[in-house]
Amino acid sequence: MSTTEGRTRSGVYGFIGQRALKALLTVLAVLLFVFFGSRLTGDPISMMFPEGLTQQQHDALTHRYGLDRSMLDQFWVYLKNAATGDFGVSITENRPVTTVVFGAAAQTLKLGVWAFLLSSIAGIAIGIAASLKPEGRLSKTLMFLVCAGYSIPGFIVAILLVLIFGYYLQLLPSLGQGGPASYVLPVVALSARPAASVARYVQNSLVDVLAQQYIRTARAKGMGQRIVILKHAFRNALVPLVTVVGMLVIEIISGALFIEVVFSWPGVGKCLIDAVLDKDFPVLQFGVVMLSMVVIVVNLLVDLLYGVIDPRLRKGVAA
Amino acid sequence: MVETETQSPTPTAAATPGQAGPLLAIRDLEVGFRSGDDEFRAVNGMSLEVRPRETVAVVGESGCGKSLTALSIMGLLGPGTSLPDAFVRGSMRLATGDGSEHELVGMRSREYDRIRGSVLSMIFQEPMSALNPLFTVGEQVVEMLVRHEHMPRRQAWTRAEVLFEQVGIPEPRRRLKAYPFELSGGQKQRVMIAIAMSCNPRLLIADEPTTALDVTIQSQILYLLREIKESFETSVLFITHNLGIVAQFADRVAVMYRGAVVEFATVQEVFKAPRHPYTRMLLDSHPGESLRARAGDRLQAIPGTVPSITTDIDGCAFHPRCPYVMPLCRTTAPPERIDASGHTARCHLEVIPDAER
Amino acid sequence: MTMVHTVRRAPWRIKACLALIAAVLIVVIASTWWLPYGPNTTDLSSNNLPPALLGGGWDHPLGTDPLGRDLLSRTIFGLKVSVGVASIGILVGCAVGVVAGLLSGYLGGFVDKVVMAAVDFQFAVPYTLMILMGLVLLGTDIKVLIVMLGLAHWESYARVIRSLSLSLRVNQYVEAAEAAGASRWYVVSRHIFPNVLPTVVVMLTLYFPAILTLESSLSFLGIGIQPPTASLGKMVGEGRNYLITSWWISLTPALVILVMALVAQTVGDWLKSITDLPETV
Repeated sequence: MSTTEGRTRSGVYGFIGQRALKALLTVLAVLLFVFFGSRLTGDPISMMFPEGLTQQQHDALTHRYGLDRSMLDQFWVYLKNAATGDFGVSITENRPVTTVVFGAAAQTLKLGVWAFLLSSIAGIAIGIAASLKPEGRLSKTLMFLVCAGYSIPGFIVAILLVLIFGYYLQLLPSLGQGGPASYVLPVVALSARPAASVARYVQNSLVDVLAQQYIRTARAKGMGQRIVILKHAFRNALVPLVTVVGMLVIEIISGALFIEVVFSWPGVGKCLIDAVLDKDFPVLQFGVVMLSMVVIVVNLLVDLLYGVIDPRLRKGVAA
Repeated sequence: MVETETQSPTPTAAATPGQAGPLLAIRDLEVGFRSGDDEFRAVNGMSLEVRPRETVAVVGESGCGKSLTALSIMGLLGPGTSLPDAFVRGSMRLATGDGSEHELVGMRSREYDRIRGSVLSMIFQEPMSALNPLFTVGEQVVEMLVRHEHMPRRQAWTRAEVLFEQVGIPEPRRRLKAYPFELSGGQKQRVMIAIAMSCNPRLLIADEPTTALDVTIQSQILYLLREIKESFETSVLFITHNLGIVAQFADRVAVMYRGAVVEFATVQEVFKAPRHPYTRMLLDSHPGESLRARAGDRLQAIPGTVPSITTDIDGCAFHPRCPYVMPLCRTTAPPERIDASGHTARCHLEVIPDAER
Repeated sequence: MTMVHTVRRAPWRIKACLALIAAVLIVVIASTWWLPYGPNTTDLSSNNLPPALLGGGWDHPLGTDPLGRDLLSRTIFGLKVSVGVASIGILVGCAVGVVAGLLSGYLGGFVDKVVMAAVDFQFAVPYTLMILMGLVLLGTDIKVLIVMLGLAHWESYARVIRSLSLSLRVNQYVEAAEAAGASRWYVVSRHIFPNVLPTVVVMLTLYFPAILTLESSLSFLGIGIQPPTASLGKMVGEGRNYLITSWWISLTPALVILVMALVAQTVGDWLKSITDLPETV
């Protein structure tokens, strides 16, 4: 999460404007990074044609792709193309990069949406359940599960699931896309770590909130433990929880990179990994830019959502 | 002679009988913390009573256990609270006004939830952090009324407006929709008082409600509390370290030292003829206009400091600092001596030399 | 330091974890001198043998892989590689982050703005994506890999260290030292750094499992540690084609990774709970 600045200048519009500007700058930074990174660390032409070229072919191609112009010129061309949606062509598939990546993204979205729902609901529920009676057996078991989900790498969860449910119990399919049953294992594998993250966050947040004075006041007013947690504590704990949404998106995207490969799911994760293995640079470049933008936009929305939840921010006071 | 600065309108000496028996009777209360196999007691054998419609002040230095006593009366200690390692032992009997008496020590959470807010209520020292920042102050009053009096919400909002007026908040209707951060310290404390009184509790516990406020606001809030306690006819247990407040506000006063009540009597008696050396020294050291020191007298500081609660002291807890200490004091804890008018003191001495001027 | 004292009072789960970590370290170090077989010695006559408990004989207690390489030796070696790579990497990233944080917090001004901009950028973009780009651009040489892995959390160190040094900077004894004419370098190394050290140690423990995970995930996909070096993640990846028939080839290293990550995370969490760290760590 970005470092919070001090006072906002003028209530709501200042708040939105400031955040949006920051997001825009970050997107620009990503583009710069991706673009100059590739130009500076190697010769894109040789990377595109690893089989080797004669000097003549190399020079011809360099000219054709405009790589003999200055960096700034190149960047400008890149931006212009980007504005019209032209990000180049995939080396391996000879299709426009945008088609390849967007197509894959749609597949990932199918998994991602389910994983998002599952992790948020399960995570919040587990987080609350573990806070109700911190010393109880249920709490301790849940905490252990959460620790496991958080620390075990995604691909291992995926492989274990495949072994147990796919092969031994023969319950669920484990390769590729198919009917609804083929969604189950990948979604569960994809949700494991995000759910654990959410649960940890909820729990920590609740513990902090429950130690506050106003909780004691609520108890002194005769409010029962359930009301206190669900009404008073939860809403206050929710304030930082909204950050978790941003976290979730990042974790699901990162997780997808590995889990899609295990399940051979034709999503953006597998697409990017294949691009790395095949050294298909245009695809990789666009994929990184696109995913980064998704993350940045989500974080922006999260920041804005804070303003709704915490009235202090709405009214222009630094929280 | 001692002059109290303002007339106290409530009867002094024995409070009005009206109901048989005290409203709250605390006997041998012990409150402490467990850590592994150890335990230390911050409140050790404390006894106190509050009668209906009476104001009892509890005074003492920091660390004497007065806040913990308040929290334990309210049941805000122990597992599931912010002080999970605390334990409470002894007896606290509360008369709930329908003729029944309840033992608060060991009471179940659910029952306590019914009593808190409706029979017992509390206001805290820091109004800044005592209110939930995400809800309007009106909502925080309304939820009380809805829960304890089962009032429909519309009615509750109207009643909340009335309460706000009673506690002296200007433009009450507008203020209902305000969030805590929009109010000043004094206003927040008024809101707390409104919340606390909303369901007509029999006993209001006030834990140093003015300590965190500006001096000018302090007297306003005190004045408000006095009005409130009369119009609602409620008993008040007022915790403070400020003897001046005690003089203006209370009927009886309990002086606490290291977890026990060392003297308990009407305000007049305690100020005029204290029976415990600690009380006497507190009075001597207080630069109050009205207390004991006359203009030109030297203020006496109490020698030594309060020993930490983790060190044990044999015999009388005060003996290391007591100017009248006798060999007996070092070995045997003093009994509680009660005289005819109900004035109790924990001291081996029957009478302090030069106690009266 | 009261380290021994702290350990003694820890819950038994923690003690078990610490014992396991110690055992692993001993095995890993000892393996430099002795392994039952070499990690890469192939023996095609005894390939795909199941582990001893499943009927494979005690020559190869954990079985063998398709090339006849002994899995026990390979697992130990892989463990050494993974742990080694993660350890060195995390120190690199930590060093970068700590230095950045110290400079940022203590010097303030322009340096601070630049560093914080970099930190914000790092936070905004998932690091895994950046590693993928780095791998393609810079190749998979092991030194490059270690540095890239290590940089995974530099921004977290930087942030925490920065806020710590900001608050320490206004501490009385720092001001006194500055007033007495101490050079900035002196102040940083003598006053600020030692106070920052305990936090750094806890952060190292906390992020170690994450780096371990990252390395094994990348190696699993084939873009991390390159053959013929064994690494736990890579072994899991290699065994994928044999999941149905010789599942132990993947499962053994997978379980080792699982246990290591779990244990490291548990200890890290415990350390964090007994010290005062800001919640964003």
